[in-house]
Amino acid sequence: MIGALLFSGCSEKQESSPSEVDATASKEFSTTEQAEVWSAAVKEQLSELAYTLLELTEPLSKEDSSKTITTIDFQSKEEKERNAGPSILVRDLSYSFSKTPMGLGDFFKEMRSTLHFEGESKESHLKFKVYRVQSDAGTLKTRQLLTASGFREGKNIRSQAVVEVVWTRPTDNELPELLSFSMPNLMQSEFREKDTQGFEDVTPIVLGGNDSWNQQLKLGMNHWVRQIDEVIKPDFLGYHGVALGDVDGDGLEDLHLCQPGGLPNLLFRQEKDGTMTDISAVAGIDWLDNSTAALLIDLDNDGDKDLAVATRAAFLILENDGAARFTLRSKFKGIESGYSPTASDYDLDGDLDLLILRYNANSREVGDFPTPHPFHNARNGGANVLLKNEGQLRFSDVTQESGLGKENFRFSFAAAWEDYDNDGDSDLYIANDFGPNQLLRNDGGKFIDTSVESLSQDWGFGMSASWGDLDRDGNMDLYVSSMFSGAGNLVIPQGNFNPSMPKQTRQRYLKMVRGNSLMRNNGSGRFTDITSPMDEGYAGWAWGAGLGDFNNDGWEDIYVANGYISQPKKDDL
Amino acid sequence: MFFWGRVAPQSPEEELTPSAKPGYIRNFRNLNLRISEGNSFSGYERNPFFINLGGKGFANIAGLLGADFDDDGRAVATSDWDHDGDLDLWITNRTSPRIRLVRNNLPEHDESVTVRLIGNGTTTNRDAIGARVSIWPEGRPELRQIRTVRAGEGFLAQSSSWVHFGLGEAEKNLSVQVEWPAGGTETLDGLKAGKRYLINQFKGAKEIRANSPSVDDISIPKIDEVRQEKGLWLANRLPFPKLIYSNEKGGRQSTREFSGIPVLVNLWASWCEDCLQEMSEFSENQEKIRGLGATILALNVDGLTTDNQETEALDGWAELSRLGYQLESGKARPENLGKMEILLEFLTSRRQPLSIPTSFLVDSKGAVAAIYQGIVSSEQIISDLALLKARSQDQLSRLSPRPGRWFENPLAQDSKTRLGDYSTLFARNGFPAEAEYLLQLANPSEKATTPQELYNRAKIATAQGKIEEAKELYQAAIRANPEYGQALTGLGALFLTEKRSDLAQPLFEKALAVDPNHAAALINLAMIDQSRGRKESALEKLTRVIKLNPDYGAARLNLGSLYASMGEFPDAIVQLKKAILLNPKQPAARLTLAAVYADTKQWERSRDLYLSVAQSHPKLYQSFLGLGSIYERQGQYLDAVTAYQKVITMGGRSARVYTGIARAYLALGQKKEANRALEAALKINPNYPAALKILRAQ
Repeated sequence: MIGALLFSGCSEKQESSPSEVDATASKEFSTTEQAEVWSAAVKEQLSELAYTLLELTEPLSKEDSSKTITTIDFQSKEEKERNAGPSILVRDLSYSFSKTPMGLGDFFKEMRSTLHFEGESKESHLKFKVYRVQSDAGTLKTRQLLTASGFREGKNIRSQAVVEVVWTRPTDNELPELLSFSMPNLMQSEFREKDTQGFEDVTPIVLGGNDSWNQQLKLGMNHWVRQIDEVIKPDFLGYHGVALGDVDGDGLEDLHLCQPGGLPNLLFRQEKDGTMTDISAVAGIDWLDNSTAALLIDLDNDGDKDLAVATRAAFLILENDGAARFTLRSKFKGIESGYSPTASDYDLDGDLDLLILRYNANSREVGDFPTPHPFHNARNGGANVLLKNEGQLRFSDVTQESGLGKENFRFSFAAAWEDYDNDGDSDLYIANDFGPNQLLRNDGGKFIDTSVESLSQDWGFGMSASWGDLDRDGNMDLYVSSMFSGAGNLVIPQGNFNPSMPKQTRQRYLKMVRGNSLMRNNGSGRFTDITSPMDEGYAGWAWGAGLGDFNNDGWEDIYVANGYISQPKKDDL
Repeated sequence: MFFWGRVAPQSPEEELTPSAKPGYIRNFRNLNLRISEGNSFSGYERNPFFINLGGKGFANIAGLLGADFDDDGRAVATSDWDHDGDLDLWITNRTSPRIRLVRNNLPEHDESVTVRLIGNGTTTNRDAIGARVSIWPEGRPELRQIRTVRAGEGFLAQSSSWVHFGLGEAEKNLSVQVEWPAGGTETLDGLKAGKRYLINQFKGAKEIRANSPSVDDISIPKIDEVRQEKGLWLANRLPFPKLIYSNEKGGRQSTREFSGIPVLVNLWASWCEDCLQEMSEFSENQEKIRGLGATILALNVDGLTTDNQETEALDGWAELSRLGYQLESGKARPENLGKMEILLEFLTSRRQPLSIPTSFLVDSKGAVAAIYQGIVSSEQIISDLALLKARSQDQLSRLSPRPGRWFENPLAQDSKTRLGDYSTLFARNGFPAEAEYLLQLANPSEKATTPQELYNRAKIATAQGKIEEAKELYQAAIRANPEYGQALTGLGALFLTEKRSDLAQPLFEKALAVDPNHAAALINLAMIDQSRGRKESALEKLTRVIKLNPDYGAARLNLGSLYASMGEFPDAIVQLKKAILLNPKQPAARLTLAAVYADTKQWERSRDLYLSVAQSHPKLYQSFLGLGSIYERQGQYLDAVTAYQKVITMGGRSARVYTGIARAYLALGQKKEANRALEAALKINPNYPAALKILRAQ
């Protein structure tokens, strides 16, 4: 027997983990690993199924033609039209489960018809996203989201459904086989009129005349981190925001963009023809320090938009002379790497105060992953700052006396002000990563933490906070971005995921990966989580949300930006 | 899966001291590493558009609308940018393009109204931030909709200050109520759909003519797409690693020989079109470059990279000659590429293979000033050569790819810690001599002072085999920080190699007291347990380590060995196979598994593994020892003798080997040789049972 020798007490060198696992193990070593293996096998079969449904033109193999599965009764379809405004048709189709098995060939035919894959359209597509895998008495049960795009007489029809599939258990040599395919509800959407236009990316038209578009904005962070010394923090994670405001008083709103370390922040003036002109240098705002977000707001009440910008080095306040020329007036060197600055007259004295959030405790660290302790309730984040406007562009730090200094150790990403209790002053909601969010009620200029009583903590990876009266009942509701993780949903319920974890914590973890949250304000200081997880909750790794009535039907909609890190190797970690 | 399978489960329930829980921190670092290697993490996700279904739920119709971009989106701001009555979207992204303006072309335009509020600037802020606006069709207040004017919301975003209402129908007359912050409430009637209004505090509403840019008439400007990458200019120069390469005659040369003059180290290959084009331009400009007191070192990497193996590599030297290149040249060695990759990883936090061509601009003091990934123009090089000795202020503008202004001078950054981290990266990746050299180069007389520095030096010393020095450094680190878990285990491991488990054990236990899940401490204590026969205790510890760190190869190896020693062969095999997958180059796991296969009579598998170790690590005698035993079993006695004799020539003389030889010779009928071997065996160990047995049998 050769014993193993360990020369270094703690080898820092990490070898990369292989994706294969020895499936011939005499006992399952880790259920997490097992879940990985099964989900990979299922994904392969689902790819195969998607391909078959999209491309099926030849007759089935002899083997397949004799197979049957249990599935829905396609004839039992009931349709309900939803209210999506005049030009968009959204329908919910529901099916009951059939008692009699169906031939595989017939199943494929019915599915193709249902998803509108008839005809030659090469633009149809179909995807399955698996988010739950359970082992159940010799079979495997998976839950996945089906999204599809088909065509009927040239009109695009989109489909989305939660699908439950039962499979045979995979072995060393055999992939799981389809036993049962359940799709009780299917949502389909289309335009009522065939030639209706939707949304269009017009960026090259509007920004294309600028060097900064071609040489800077058209290149992503994957490119820039290879061109800029890491020490000046070109933030690989891409936390750089946008602010809109009319800086030259011509009635047309202009655009401010924060940029990574080594690249200048940009200010574009909107011209009458709709194009934008880069005035960054002349305006004096082309800071090269890594900047996260900014505000274009009138801080001295003189009628023009001043600039407040969060850079890694300091929080800066610049005065606008009315003609879009900015002069540095205040610099807060202790407030580094601020996130999502927001303005509000919290003390109702007629001028705008500033709330600046902090994420990392070491706020000069940019672009790396933090190490939250503990993961679901991290208390080692940065301290947020409230600056009271004292006039003439001078500010004082009132974090402590205003009451925001308590529990001020979260990984705060986003904030939004709103008078949620309709008492005439602005209250505050803060979205925190790795833990609970905070609702702070404004009582005469002092903040009372009502997070717990209001039931609005929404434990999770808070990344964005937006207010809107989404059900038109006169009370402002909350929409918060978090993260839906297929992998997380797969792994966390498994018994071997940190088995010593208390039940409450495990519930918290599950909540964390459930996705975005919609919390209805019931008008008496309480919120109810009314999220439909597979509808407005299902937004992937979600970041900023924008609320607005985009189709002008009187009901505010929600647009979400998502996606964490896309790189050449597409396989997810 | 990596994140949820590896990182999240380890999180402690309670808050930690910073020095504790290296496993949890390690896994986050691992995550960082995987991402730096180019893996995606929740990537390629399509933005959703949740349409409000009349207050009765939402549905994602982003695909239908054509708004389902798969960028890594970040901030979203809304604005009716083209003043056509519906809201458009500004979206910032991590990926390209970093900003998108997405225009809303849905048919419903006029069924909306947009207002902008202006506060009086005394009681109420001019931007009217915080104002609550309500709108309803005249006479129907029960149909009111509410909005609030905000500055900043969502994530890193500030939307338009124009407040937009969708109306469902093109209402004829509207009433609007404004609750001004600290400024009273007013109601105005007679507003009309499809219009834009300016509302001054208690001064009425004024209709504003919409600006309707005819964007469709504008064509996308044609800009020359050729982009000249200027390369990465370092904020603080780092010492360039020492490269030893071969010259045309096959002799050794070192980059150190260039000290005193600036040199552009260029990695090129003869099958690479871009490289040849670049080399040709170098040749044209070589006089100029020489005139500036600099030179180029063209290092050929033919045969060393994994791409393009199929084309016949041209003769590198001949190519240079053909191109008229007359400056310095050489043939790169594999270690050179490794060092270049480490340098790049340090500067960009990206761990990716080198692309060809890549060039490094090294100044006259041997420090690297710039790195060019891809072709670099000679014009750029000449310009940069002139910049090498310029004042730091002049270099500032070269630092950023685009012009702008710095609030904080990036050149005034702490460089000492950086240098320590830089050299440690070399140490961790198998270049301890380089690490030592780099540290000394920068700080000739600098003594390590912080615990971290002492620890780093200790590791370097260990890798160099300077055990006494390493011990002192670890002890100094521990004196500076008695709870420094990694230093405690580092020192403990050294004692273990000296077989002083009595000294090692308290150190590991201390590390474990600081952090009950400290992987290295657990592994080592498990080994001590095992050496004292406390197998169950060892098993418990190792199982724990692996649950927390499934990819810790050494732990798997130890657990596999432990199972084997307990006779639990199937479990041993599972662990050892995994250990091999994790560290394919390391021989220990393969040797152990080979022995287990032998114990379970899987001779073929055992032999194949021993052979693989014999090939990859020809200086390790253990593989031959195992082979000898297997050949014996299979009756290949001549092969057995050869294998055993190899063990002896490699210095593995033992009674066991000689006895093996004796057995084999006996089977071959060569009694004389057998006896000679027996004698040798008994000389080493007169009581060796196997040898005595054979002796008695004769």
